Amino acid sequence: MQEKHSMGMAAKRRIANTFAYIMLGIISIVWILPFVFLVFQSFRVESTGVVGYVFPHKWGLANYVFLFSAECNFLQWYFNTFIIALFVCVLQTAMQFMMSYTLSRFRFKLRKPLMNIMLVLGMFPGFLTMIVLYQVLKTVGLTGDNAVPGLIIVYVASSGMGYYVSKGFLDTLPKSLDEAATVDGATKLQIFFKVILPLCKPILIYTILTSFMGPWGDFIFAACIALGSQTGMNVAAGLNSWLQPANISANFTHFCAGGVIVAIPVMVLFMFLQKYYVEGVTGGAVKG
Amino acid sequence: MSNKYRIDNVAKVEPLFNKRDEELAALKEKRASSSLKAEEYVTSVEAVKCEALDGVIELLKTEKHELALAKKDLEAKVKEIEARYDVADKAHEEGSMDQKAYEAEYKTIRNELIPLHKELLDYRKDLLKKDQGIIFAKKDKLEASIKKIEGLLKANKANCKAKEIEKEEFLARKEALEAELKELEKAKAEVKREAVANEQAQFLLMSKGQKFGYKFVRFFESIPEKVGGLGKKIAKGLKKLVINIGLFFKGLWDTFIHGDWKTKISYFIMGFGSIARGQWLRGILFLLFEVVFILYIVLFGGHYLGRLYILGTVESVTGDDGTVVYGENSFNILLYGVLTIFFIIAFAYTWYVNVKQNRIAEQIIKDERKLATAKDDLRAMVDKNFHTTLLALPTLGIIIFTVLPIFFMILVAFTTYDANHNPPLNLFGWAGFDNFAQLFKWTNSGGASFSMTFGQILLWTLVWAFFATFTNYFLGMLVAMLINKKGIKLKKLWRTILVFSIAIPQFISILYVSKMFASDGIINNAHMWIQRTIFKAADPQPIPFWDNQWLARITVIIINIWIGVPYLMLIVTGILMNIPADLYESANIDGASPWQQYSKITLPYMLFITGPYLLTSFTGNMNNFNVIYLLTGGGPKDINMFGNAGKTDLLITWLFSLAINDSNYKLAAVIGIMVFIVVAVVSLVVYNIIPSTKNEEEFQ
Repeated sequence: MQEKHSMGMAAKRRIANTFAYIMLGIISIVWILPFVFLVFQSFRVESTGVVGYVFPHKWGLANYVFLFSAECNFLQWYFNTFIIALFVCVLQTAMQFMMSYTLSRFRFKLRKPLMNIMLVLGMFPGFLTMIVLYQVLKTVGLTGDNAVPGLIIVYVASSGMGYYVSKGFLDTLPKSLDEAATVDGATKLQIFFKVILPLCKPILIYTILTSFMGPWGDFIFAACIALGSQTGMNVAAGLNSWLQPANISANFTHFCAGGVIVAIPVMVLFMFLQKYYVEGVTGGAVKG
Repeated sequence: MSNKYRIDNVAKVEPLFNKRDEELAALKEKRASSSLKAEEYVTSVEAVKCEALDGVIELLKTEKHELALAKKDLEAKVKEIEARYDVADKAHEEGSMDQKAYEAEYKTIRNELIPLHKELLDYRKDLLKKDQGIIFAKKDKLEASIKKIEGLLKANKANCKAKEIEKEEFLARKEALEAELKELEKAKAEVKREAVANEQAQFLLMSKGQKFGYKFVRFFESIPEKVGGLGKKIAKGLKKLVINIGLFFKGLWDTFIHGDWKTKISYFIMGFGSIARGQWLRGILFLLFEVVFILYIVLFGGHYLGRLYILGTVESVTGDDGTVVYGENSFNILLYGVLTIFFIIAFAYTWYVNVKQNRIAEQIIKDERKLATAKDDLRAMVDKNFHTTLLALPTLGIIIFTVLPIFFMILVAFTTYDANHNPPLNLFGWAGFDNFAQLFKWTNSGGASFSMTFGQILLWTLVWAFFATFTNYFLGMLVAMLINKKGIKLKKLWRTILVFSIAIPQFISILYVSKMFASDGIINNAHMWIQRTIFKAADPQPIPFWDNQWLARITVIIINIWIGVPYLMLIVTGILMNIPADLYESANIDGASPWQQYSKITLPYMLFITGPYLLTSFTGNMNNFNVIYLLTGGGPKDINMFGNAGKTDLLITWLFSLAINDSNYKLAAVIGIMVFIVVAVVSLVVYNIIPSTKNEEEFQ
């Protein structure tokens, strides 16, 4: 009787696992397929609009050639975005770390009020600030064709408010580390650079990765700040403009090709640093 | 009333209360005929109450004693029956009892025991209730005693004033009475603690349903208490604030009066005192700041600040040849006016710091200690005041690029800033609460009403946020559990496939998917092909994914699952691995089904850990601009809605299109403020209900 029971269990488990494999297979297909379609569409050369079929009737590289030709601003956009992302990932990481390190390691009178104020500020929709920022940047001449430095400032300036994830990480580092270093006569500056920072590699990489990826996807602020200029846009705003009703029939396949080119470096980077990303996301959610 | 004290024998307690009432009435009469002083009346009344309560407590104690005796009897009986287990065990071991009889014996014993155990539980509950009654009576008695002593204290004072007793006697009596009062307060606190412990014990003995009902009732019972507490806190805070402001100005005044001449000059020339005392670095910085501030106000800010109350009166004029002579710019007046106010606040604070520095320096010189030199100041920046150094840049950025614009936009909600009042060609002015009043106006002469549209969109925003959060949460959990299931191979591959979709910038994937669902997109093409070839439909129609409001709403929720599940999968995987494995092992041994294991172990654990995350993801989804904007652009549009709003518009996308397409900045600002209020209220309520709001210091 005992044996029969366990065999029933094994069979049951086999069925359950088969079912799980089928589910996972379907899930994988659903999640991958749109990207495969996107790649296929980028090789379609017989027409440039939206079509209802997956496999191009005629394959070719015309869309990619177009992106790199002189009649198209794609390279400019791509270069803009790359520059922005480079600056932002350095500066934003620095800002966030200054904020999170201070809030995690120091206890001062204004600490709680500061955290509460940032919490409240975070509840306002971010777009509200856009109209003002546009006007301010316009007066100093950082909009339109000069949108790149303007965008960098906008992205970096308020990034201290995104301190939550890295503070969550820093909170887990034991305070005795600091105390030991203080006993040894180190200043707070030395503690920051020589004791804490080397331990922060995972969260540093996470912050750099997310802040590098951010500018590649922003099409609202970028389009707004670069208003009226073709050369000041970033890649997301540019590609997005190709999908507006007026341009879509001429540019849909170009969008697909551009999407592939944008996705590749980001994806490669992401796949290499996946481990850190997962750690950051998980830790951030658990800490709330 | 009588059962506040949980007395069983009501007949016995009645004479006690009757006697008390009689005595109280007599006292009242005496007081009315004014043969009794006010203080004496109070003490006598409280003394009578105390006496009656003493009787009640005595009675309760006897009742409790009886209960305890009955319970003891029952316990003895239970023990007797339980002893039969051992007898049966022994017989079974020796072989004089076969398996069947043994099991049957066990069963009969258990059946006999069950009602007894239930009865025992009832006794325990009754005993706790008796205890509770005693606690209540004790508390009331203590309160009466406190009042009595307070009355005595007053009487004592009155007697002293009336010179009926000597001062020494008065003081001695006062001391004794105060000591007694202190004892009583202590006893009261002790009784309060006992009451809490008793309530907890009673709660533990409740069944599940009772527990829920109890919690439910207590939640609503506690609301007035909490509100009252908040009111008290605010009142206290205000009082403290007023006192502090008073102290602040007194401090400034004292520093000026008692300070030396260097300090006095510093009140007008910032940093003078510091420079004069050799702290040249901070002195020069103070001075520099003052110079910059004065230049700013005189050359720039003063003008805008002066026009802030009216936001400009000189209109722009367009000449016949099309050239424009610009007048005042309301936008700039508002913006630089606000900036100037910020600057003034910063200056006032710096000025105060400057004065304080003088006070401190004077004290240090008086104590003959060494003043901090410029070198010390620089060193403090990287050591003692390192946090200030670190925070300077990020906070400055936040103030200029977040606080200032938000403050500005809040003010815009009180102006007439829209397409018809758009600087630099037109002026706008203050409008008071007119824009907010629109939220409550149900009819509108010119087209769709703002309030109706706002209500509809708010409702959809909440519905969307609810579904977007919970579909992702549960499906993400499901996928994570599938991947982590025992015996599933290639775990890393499955995970990577999902993570892959995170790596691709959202605007690419979402835009592409939205085109897949278009009427000429891949999905509809496949659908029409199926209709034509399999169902032989003559004239198949595309599915109106983006044109039918219900279909569009459902489709965005479903596509959002596609977008959000990979993130949830990552998060849930991390937490799943943290659930102690022995929980599942023991559940397996007890024969719990997979569903039971999920609902009794996994889900409660997950909900506890991810409570705060669910909250942030709910508010995040309320403001999920990307998904809605890229998928539908808010459509399908509805001409019956205000400002070209669509059926899938969230408040945030509506705000965006009002501001960008219609230049209706004033209403966009109103919506922005409303979004803030909704998010704040949701966060506050949920944060107070979820259990896992942990203390951050616990982690370190």
